[in-house]
Amino acid sequence: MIFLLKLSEIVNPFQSIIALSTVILFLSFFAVSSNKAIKKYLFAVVLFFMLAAFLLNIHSYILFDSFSDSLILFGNVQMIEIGIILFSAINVLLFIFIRDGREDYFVKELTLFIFLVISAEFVIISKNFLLMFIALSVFIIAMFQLVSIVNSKVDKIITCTLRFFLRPTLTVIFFFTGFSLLYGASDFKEFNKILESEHISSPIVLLALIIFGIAIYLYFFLFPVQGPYMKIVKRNSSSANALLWFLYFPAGIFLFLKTGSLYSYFMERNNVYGSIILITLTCGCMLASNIGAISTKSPRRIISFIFLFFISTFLFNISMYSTGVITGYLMNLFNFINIFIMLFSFMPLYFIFSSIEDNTGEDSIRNIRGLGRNYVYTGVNMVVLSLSWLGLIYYLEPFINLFKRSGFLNAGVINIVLLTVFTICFIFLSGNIFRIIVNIFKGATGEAMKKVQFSRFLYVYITFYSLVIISVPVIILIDRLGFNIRFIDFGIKEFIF
Amino acid sequence: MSFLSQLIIIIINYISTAGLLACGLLSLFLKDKKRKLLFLLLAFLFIGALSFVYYSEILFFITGVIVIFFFLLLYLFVLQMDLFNGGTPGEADEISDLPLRSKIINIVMPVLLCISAGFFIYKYVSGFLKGIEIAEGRSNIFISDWSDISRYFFTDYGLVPAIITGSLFMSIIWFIAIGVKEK
Amino acid sequence: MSFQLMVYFNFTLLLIGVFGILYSRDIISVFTSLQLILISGFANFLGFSRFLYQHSIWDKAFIVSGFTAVYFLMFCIIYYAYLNKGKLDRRELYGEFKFFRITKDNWWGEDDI
Repeated sequence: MIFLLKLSEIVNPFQSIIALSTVILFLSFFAVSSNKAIKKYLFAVVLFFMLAAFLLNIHSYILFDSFSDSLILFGNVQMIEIGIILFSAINVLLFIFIRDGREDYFVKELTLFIFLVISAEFVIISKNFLLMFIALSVFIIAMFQLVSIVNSKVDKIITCTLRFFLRPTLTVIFFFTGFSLLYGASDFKEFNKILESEHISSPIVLLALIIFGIAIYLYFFLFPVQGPYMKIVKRNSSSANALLWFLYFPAGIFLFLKTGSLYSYFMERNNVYGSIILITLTCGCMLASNIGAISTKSPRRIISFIFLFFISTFLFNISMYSTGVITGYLMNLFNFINIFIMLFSFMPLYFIFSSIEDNTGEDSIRNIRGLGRNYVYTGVNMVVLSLSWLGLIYYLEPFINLFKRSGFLNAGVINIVLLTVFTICFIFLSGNIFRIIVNIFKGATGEAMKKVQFSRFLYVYITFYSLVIISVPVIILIDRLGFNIRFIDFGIKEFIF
Repeated sequence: MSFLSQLIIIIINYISTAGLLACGLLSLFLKDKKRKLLFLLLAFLFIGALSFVYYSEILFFITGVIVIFFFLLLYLFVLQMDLFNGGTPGEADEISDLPLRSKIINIVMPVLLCISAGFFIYKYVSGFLKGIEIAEGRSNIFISDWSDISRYFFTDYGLVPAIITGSLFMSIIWFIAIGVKEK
Repeated sequence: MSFQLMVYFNFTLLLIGVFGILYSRDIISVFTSLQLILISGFANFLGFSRFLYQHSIWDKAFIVSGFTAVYFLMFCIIYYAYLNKGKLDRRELYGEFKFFRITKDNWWGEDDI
């Protein structure tokens, strides 16, 4: 035990990465195997090590506290982010096993998948520009390779895949250019050091940040550059969509949060033009994604549009911060709450929709008609999961506080515009939720619904997520009533970002 | 450094920047794919000359090894595209020919965007650049070589080559999976 | 060459690359534009190192490792296209890679494929 502790101290904070690398080494012995029993065994091994990596991540932080050197930073924020990535990875692993468990390339897929998770962890813990850039490039390489393997049996996907992955390639190249400009502005190799130095006011730093902003905007396929994302999502296999939504986008969000401190600095300097551009883009993204979701009949595209809407709420958080509606602390809190809602609602919903699509062979919202009557339990869970999107109502609270402080008329035109746009988007989102719920319970059971069969695992899976989602408002209610909730030695009120 | 050496360096500097600009523009606007690649390769050769001027020629050799693999594949791809499609250069562009209005918009919009971006960059950055102090001791030339770079990697940045090597090894699996599927 | 001229020249290269991305329709032109942007970043590193940081190795390490990673990424993408060229038709390779196309199916996607 002491030996393990000493070993853990030596390799700190790479415990989870080493656990996953061990699995890759183990999998390499079975790389060409297509035996069904071996695939199940390997899946179990990988799942075990992913869970171990998840626990090791938390355990190493509790035991050894934060770690920082010239290349990496592992603090409480990074610990949470890695936990989120590992949690998503476990879910995606389940998707991959259920969808691709019988394929010849399954073991190779598993190996590449674990490497993808490792590179995502490096993106999160990297502090130095060089390591950050390499980790991002390697992450994109691994993502491209995995998506191309997973889509190998899908028709007419090649052009879409090429067009999709040209965007993150451009992101990486823009990051290269941006880092070259930051190098020219100052000799510092970390965002925090540049923030604390006198060079922060250099126009070259601002130019580099603009380039980073464009790069990240392209990475997320926000409006008006969402075309390749919309096309690939419709054509992808289910596993590839899960990879994009639950690993590609979260890793990009965590990368974006790294540059957050620099953007916050310029926002605080009341850069009016920057705020106007940001707010215009935010409003455009939020409105367009909701309109797109309402106008389509394909559940995949509904989910992909609403996912884009959730991504654009991160821009909305920055917009609110730039106009002074929320503080930096609240902006970070809202970011993490959004990630929580995204992962805990989209994963089970997509599992259900993809199961229906697999059974019926068609991706249409008509296929869920009568689901609520034939499969009552699944229908109720879908309602709970869809209603969790209404949790975004918490965005109204900062505006209410602002109006109480300064009065409605003195709140500023931009803040009123933000509130109006959010309200319109919320109405559209509610319309989408209502549309899903109505389709679940209305109408005669179609021919498609008769073909649908859900596995027992799906019932366990969606129950877990529904329980988590139901427990959140309960905990908040208890907290508002004044009870101090302690959970594994840290209270909700005391957790500091 | 003697006056003649400095003059030679200045001349190479201007020739390589002019060549880089010309080759870059030609590689962008030529329709023949093979000529595009040829001028892009020439642009790389000019940037190599520029790296000599900036006393970092080792970078040209190291990156050249990496880039040559990519160019070989790109050239093969272009050759195969021409052979496979059985067409002469530029023939495919006639298939999806756009109306004149769309062509004009396709050129004018990016040009306007780039010119306005360039104008703002110039306006914003010019004052700052005039005030920058160039490093003292420019006459002391420091030429780095591969041993300096490799020492730097293996002392401070050991993780970086480890991650890149890991990615290359993982990619072997991808190359096998994609290649076997093709058969 | 003066420092200011060097910086303006690098920005010009960057903007030429950006123009190429917005204008190009075929995959080869897009890759050409991407490499022009990479070259501008490379020239930035060289120039700043020469004029501002005489003894810095960090920029050289960045260029070596950055180029390795980025070119390997582009290599994988081209390799994928090269292997699957039989399934791609001429119209797709020569006309489908424009970065911003304002057509309905590119804007919203399609429900039926």
